[in-house]
Amino acid sequence: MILYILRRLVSVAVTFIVVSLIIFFMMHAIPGGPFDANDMPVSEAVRAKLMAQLGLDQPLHVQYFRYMWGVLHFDFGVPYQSPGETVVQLLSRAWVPSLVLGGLGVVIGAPLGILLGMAAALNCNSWIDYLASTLATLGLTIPVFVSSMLLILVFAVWLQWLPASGWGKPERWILPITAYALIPLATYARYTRSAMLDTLNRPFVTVLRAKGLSERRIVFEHVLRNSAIPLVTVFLPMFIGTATGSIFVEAMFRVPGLGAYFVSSIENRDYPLEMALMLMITFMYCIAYLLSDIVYALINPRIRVGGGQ
Amino acid sequence: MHILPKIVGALAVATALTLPASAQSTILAPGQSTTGTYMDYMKTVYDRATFAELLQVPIATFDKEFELTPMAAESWSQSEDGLTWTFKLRPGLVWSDGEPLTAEDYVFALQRAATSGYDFAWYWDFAGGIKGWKEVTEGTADVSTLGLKAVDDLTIEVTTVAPKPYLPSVTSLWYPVPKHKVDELGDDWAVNVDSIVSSGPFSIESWEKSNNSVVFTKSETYTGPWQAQIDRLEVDPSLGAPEVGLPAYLAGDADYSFLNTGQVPVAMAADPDGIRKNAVFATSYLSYDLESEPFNDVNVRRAFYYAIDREELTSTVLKDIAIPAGSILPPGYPGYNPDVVAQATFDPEKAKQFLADAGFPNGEGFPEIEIWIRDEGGYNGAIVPAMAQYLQAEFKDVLGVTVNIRQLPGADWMDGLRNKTNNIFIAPYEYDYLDPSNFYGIFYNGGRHGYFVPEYDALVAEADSESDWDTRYNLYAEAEQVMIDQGLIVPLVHPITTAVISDNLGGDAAKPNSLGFTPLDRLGHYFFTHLTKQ
Repeated sequence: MILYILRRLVSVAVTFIVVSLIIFFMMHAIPGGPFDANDMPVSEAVRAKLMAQLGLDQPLHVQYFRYMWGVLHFDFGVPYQSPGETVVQLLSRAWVPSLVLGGLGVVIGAPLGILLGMAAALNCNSWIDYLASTLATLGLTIPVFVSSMLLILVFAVWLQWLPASGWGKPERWILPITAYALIPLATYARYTRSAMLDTLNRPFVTVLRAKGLSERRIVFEHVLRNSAIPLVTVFLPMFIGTATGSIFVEAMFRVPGLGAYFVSSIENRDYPLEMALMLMITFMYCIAYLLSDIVYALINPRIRVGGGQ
Repeated sequence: MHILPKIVGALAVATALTLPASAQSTILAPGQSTTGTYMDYMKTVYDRATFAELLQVPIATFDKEFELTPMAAESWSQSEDGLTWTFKLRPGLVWSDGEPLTAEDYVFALQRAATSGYDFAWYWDFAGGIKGWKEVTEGTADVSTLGLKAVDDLTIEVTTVAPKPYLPSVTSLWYPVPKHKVDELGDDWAVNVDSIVSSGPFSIESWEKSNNSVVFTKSETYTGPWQAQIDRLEVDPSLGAPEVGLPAYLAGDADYSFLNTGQVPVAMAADPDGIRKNAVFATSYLSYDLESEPFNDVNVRRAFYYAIDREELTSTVLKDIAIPAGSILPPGYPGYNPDVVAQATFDPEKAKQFLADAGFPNGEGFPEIEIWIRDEGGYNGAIVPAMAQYLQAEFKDVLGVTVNIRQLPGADWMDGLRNKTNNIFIAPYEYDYLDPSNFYGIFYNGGRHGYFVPEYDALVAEADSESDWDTRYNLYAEAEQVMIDQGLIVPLVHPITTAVISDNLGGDAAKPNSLGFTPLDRLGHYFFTHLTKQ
């Protein structure tokens, strides 16, 4: 197991380097640069001076190695769009609201989705199933900016129960977290329903029933555990989505989170921040899949690596 | 025994603490960009922090009637030869840290913009025509050769390459930079609230960089004209998108909001008294490649001029978001000439006749053309694509001409315009400074379109350096007549923006001007200092 993890860590490092190369060179391959505005052009002399100040006059490979050397020392540079702080400082302040929003969204949405999916699977083809499936389908098909707008309209403008947008006070968190939670809720409801239906039809469930186990024990101890693999597969990546996936929710509800920086860093050619964000996402995905693999092994002995046979 | 006095004392303190707070007037306003680098307009315009300009006092600025009003300057005068301007500063102005505000701070601001400004340097050549500007920004001359001089603490001398009768209006974008702070901290003086100093009607209290929201307070050190009438101003750029701003406004989280096209009718029905319209000083027009077929024939260009029903266009597809344009100058803009505007009529018969004269009766034999439009955000995003489709139908209907539409990214569109890789464009332009020379300059001697029309160029050159306003006005009108007669462009529409404001807002800035428009925060200094809140 340890050897397996070590091997995976090496592959994480390789992935990391390959991805950093691709991102870096793609980023610089897009025509234009941070000082190439259309309407009010900067004079050549001033532009050259600014580029030199930022080290952008160096050959690309030099820039790459410089940047990656910094990364090794946890120095991601200074974001062009916020020169008063480092990229690390920017990330650590902007990530907090995103984590609260996305984290609570997943933590609330996922269990509700699992319950909904279970209810649907256990009452297959009944009205409960239809209702749950309709809800889940709506949750997945209505764009989040539409559901956000509906929430604002109903709870802030018509009923005036909650503030329309903003962050800071916890009562301002309720609507955006609700809007965000709809996504994991719907996703989990769909996954849980199909995974459980699949398991419920397996022969071992019939055997358990024949042995006289109570339906509750069958569902919670055996069916759920055997249905958990697909749920684990989507869980951790969904958590990473809290960093990127909430761009719309953050914009609609004025949450000062990380989402907008993904767009603005590309728009403004903010190379250091763009690089840092992409590397961060890459790293998180690598780790998330590694953790998922370990969890698989824990919940399902059949795929435990190096064990058994 | 001692409990009672303590409670009374605590209550007294609590009351004392809360009373002034509740008596404070705070305005909650939308902003424009959720990112901003420096709280310094003279470093970067596009990437500046929210309303950075409100912190500083310009030489002069405009009120809602677009009258130029002296701010930091008390007076100004032009030399006999018209080349040198002398601005006299108001005595007693200070930075918020107590340092005196001097002519040197203004001169330094422009010297720095010329050598390391991000996107602003261009303006002082194009609009200001300051002597030596081009050479300094291109790096071929030293900054000391600029036509700028602090004669003494309260006197600034500006030398231009040619007489610029409108230079004072250009100074509405001339803000001081605290030289003493830059000497100490470099550009970083403008990245932290603690080191930012102000010279204008507002001071800064906080700046949340995650969304570029800023809290301003009424300055306690500003002694110039237009003092703030509110205590605090909270600006949140994430309210700038009408989709977010309007719900927040309706829920009481903002004092006004801009409206998108779909929201206008709803808000007009719900709150007609709160609606404020503004004519942005901008124009959308058709332009051509004058040298290639088929638009090298003036008759063809004249045909297009008469083939457009602007009234129908702005009452249907562009309802509430644009008004007809008969001139390159928008209504209310200095030099606006109703006689010129009156000529832009919809006359299908004339249009057909011109096209027939060009050898294309009923459009027969006319090549298929492609109108190039640019990817647009903001108000243009709602106007341009819809207008292009309307024109497509109208040109088919009136002229029998087949028009295709192609939308391109800004840089590619501009490239097409400059290198004449296409022959017809819809071009939007918003003013950069308040003088007719701004709009006429677009077509002067190459300009934005590569037009070289000697008759037009001569009139514009003469008008640009004429100091008598009436003579200038007539010269520009003559120049525009050349534009019409030679069909250089076809003015289409002027955009209108709409906002809804709370009835808690009062003061002169909340009321429309004599033309019925309310410029709101487009005139930041005027707006936020002439606004009150109940």
